[in-house]
Parts: sequence; C-alpha cells; structure tokens
Amino acid sequence: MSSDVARFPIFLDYKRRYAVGSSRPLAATKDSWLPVYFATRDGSVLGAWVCRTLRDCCEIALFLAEDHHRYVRGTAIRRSLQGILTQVYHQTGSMEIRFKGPGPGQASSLETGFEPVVPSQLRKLAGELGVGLSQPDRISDNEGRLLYLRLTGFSRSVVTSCAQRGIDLLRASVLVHRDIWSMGQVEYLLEHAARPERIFDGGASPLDRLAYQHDLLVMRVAVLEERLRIILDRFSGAPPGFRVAADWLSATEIRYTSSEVLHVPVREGETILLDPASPLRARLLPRTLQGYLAFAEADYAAHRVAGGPVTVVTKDIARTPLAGPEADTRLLPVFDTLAEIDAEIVRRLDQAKNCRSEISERHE
Amino acid sequence: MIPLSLTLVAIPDPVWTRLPRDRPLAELAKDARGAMRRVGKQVDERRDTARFTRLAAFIEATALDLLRLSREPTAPPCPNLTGEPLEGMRALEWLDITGGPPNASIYVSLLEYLSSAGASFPPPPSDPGMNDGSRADGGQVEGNTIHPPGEAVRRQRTLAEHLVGSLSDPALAKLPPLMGRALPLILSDRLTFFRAAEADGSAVVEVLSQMSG
Repeated sequence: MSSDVARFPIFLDYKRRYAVGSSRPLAATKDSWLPVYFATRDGSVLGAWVCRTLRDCCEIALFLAEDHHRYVRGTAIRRSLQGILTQVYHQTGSMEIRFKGPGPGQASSLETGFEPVVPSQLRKLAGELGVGLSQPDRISDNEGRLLYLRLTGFSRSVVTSCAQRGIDLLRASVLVHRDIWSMGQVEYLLEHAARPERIFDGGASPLDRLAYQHDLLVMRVAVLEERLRIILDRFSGAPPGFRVAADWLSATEIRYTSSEVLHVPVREGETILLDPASPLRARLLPRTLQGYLAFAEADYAAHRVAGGPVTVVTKDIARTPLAGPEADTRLLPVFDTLAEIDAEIVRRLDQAKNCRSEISERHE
Repeated sequence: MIPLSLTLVAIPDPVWTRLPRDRPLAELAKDARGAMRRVGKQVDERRDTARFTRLAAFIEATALDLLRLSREPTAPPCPNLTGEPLEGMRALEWLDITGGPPNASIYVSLLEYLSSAGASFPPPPSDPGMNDGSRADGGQVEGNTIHPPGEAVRRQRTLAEHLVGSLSDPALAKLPPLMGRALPLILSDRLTFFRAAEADGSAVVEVLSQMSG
C-alpha cells in the first residue's frame, strides 16, 4: 500500500491554488476547496485534507493521514477524522462526509478530486470501531455520528448519566473535541453540577444571578483543578507527556497519584513531594480576595486539620495575610486570579453556545 | 454537589448610600439595574451582560467586606470602606439548616424548581407600581441577589410571604423529601430577615459561596 506521504505534493498543489494568498483566494467560488492540515506542536503534519462544505454535508477531495513514530499509532487517522467531523457538524449540523473523485472517463485533478471512495484506512478504522459503512463513497450522517461517539469513548457512567438527564451525547462529544471541556471535566460536571445540561448549553443567564452563581461555583472548581494539573504536569519535573492519575474524592477534593517522583512547586524554593508512596490530596477552594478574607476563619479551621489535604487557592490569596511568610507549604496557589478563571469560564460558555468556531479553541 | 453557603447581608441605608467612598453601592446597584434593563433591549447585549456581571460581583464582594469589617473592629483600615458606622450590618448565613449535609443549595434549587415548574406554580403578586420594563415574575426577581432598600426588599418579603403561604401547594409537595422538610425553615428565616430589613430600611445583598471544608 502506498504511503500517504507520497501524495502530500497534491495537498501542496491545493494549498498553492486555493489557500489564502493564492491567486484564487478561499471561498471565491462555490467550487473552491479548503486545504486543512493537522500538525503537532513540533510541526509534524499527521493529517491533511482538502474539503468544501455544502449545505448539509462536507465533500473531501483529498484525505491524507500518516502516523509518526513519536506518537501513538493511529493518532493521525483518528484525530483527522475527529477534526473533519467536528468541523462539518459546526458548519452544517450534519456529520455526512462525501468523498469526491473523478467520474467515469475523467482523470483525477484538483477540480475533480482524488478520493472516489472512502479511503481504505478510514474504512478500516470504522470497522475497528464497530461501524459498518453502507456506501462506498460516503459516510452517512448516522454513521458519522456513531463514529464520532466511538472516537470520543465516554465511560459507561457518562453515557448513563447523559441518558438519565436527557443530554445529547453528541453535544457532550462536541464540547470535548472542541476542547471546551476535557473528558474529565465533562464527567465532573455531570456528577457535581446541579444542571449540567444547562452548562453544556452555555450556562444560566447571568441576569438570573443565583442560578448563574450556582453553575459558576462548580465550573470554578473544575477550572481550578485544570490549572493545578498544569502545575503538576509541566512544572513539577514530570517527564514530557507524563500525566498524573487523579480521582475525585468529593466535589471539592481530589487525589493525585504518580508513578514518578514529582516536586510540586508551592512557593519560591518550596515544593511538595508527590511520589508513588505518597499521593497528593488537594482541596480546591476558589475564592475572590474578599471571599478569602470573609471566610478566613472557617477556611483556616478546615485547612489546619492535621493530615488533611493541601488547599489549592487562586492567586487572590497573595493579597491576604493568609499567604504571609509564615504560611505553610500546604497552601498551594495557582497562577490565576478568580477573575481570570471566571473570564475563562465565560469564554467557554460562549463557545458552547455558538457553533461557528474552528476545531480546537483552548487558549494554550 | 458542591457544599454552598448563602449569606444574606443587610446593609443600613447610610452605608448603602455612602460607601464605598468613590462610588457608593446604591449608585452601583442602579448601574447594574440599568445594565440589566439594557440587556433586555438587546442593543449591545454582550457588553451589558458583562457589565452587569462585573457590577453584581463587585457589590457582593463589597457586601462581604463590609460584613467582615463590622464584625472585626480590629481589622486593618480600608480607606474606601470606612467613615460610616457599621453597627447596623446584619447577616443570615444558611449553613446547616437541615440536619443533613450543610448546604445552602436547597434554596437555590427551590428557585430553579419554581422557574422550571413555571405555569403550575403561581407567580408572586405583580407590583402595579413597577413600570420600568422588568418582569415581576421569573428569574429576574427570584434569582436577583441585590435588593436596594424599599421596593426591592419589599418585593422579596412579599415573595417569601407568598411562598410560606404556598407550602401546601401541590407543586411544592412534589419536592424531594429533604428539601421539603427544610423549606419551612428556610422560608421562615428568609421572611423574618426581609421583614426586619424592610422595617429598618436596609438593603439586602445575597452572596452564594463555596463552603469551607
């Protein structure tokens, strides 16, 4: 079987002809094609495709996916298919993909397309995921939706919870694939939010302040945990790509375990040890400056419990006496203030509301 | 569910109209109400929603600050929030009112239940004097956290009275048992608090927070 790398020059031809800056700019006519590629941070292109969106489906003229030895096998094809399905769903509300190739007696060209049938590696992936493709040249809307859900791979508890609450699993999958909420965050919100379906649809109206706050408080904990995880994964001496395991003990307490020895930075020159013998228990307490001051007594009483968890707080704590030089190492501030976390939440809720954005939108 | 605390802070009128010194709470509440009204007009909904959110968050944070200063006379001075006597500040905190898990989400859940029950639950009596374009029922009144002295506090007192009087309503009978048992306590506390606030002309600000521990 020929490698997709050999066909990459065709993609470059499409790019020269149709991409922005070319002599025929993007979307100048209804026959224009859009070249898209999926690359890693180090610049390795794992997937590339050329598509155009019609009213109820997406046409693909070229589809290339090639694994790289440094990444998990199958990443290229899976992420490329996820990207196409997310994009077509945003733009049309459907997940139908039609592959375009030359008609009888025609030769393949940039106009006619190079994919007369569903590429064999896509068909193979669909088979592995247990989705049979009924037509040779397209993935129907229903097949696309099923593929999308199987690619997401929600746990049984998420599927059950969504079914009980009447939440469309596809909607939850889109939130994950658009990087609005991670898989773990979707599970957390389903378990601990009063109305997760409302959060997935963009949250309560800010004018209904109590309901809005009710949603916001649970989302603050989810985002604060995400910030803590960034510290654990990137700033505690973990090897590249290593992720600590986590399990929630309650709505505000989480336990991290690691097979590596990590030194979690707390303050200048001070760290907390996280190793296989000593898991890290963390209590998440996102508050404003005024909140930390107003509830200082109760917060401190809970924090002072011997052998209790580390208290993870926002950067607002720095302006309170609680973070003075005598503060203990079990107080772990993240890099963001609550205002910054709230701004991030508002941005994600806005993204969840509208479907006009591109594939990945997480700020980092 | 995240354990929540709901703090009702009664702020006497002299404090409400004079602090913080650079722009008093009364003015900020008017700004917030204006932003809320403009959201309804949908001229620049996004900007006005953000403005309302920021103002509401600031008023709630200031209410907590004032409450703390009134309770801790030895707290470090805060130039923007001093100069008025804070003796009249009162607070009602719902922490452990059910004997079950200490959680104030019961009241919030009640409001959400009422708004979802909608048609089957009678709305609070509308105020014939209110002619500012805002709705007299639904989330805007029920879910509002800032109640300036006078009309807004009176409306909350009326709503609490209405709910206390409707405890036998079939819509409320469908509530989960724990919530059902806690409701009379919550509503009578709330009614007492708003009656006192109305009597002494205080404003009330409600602050929903995550509980410690």
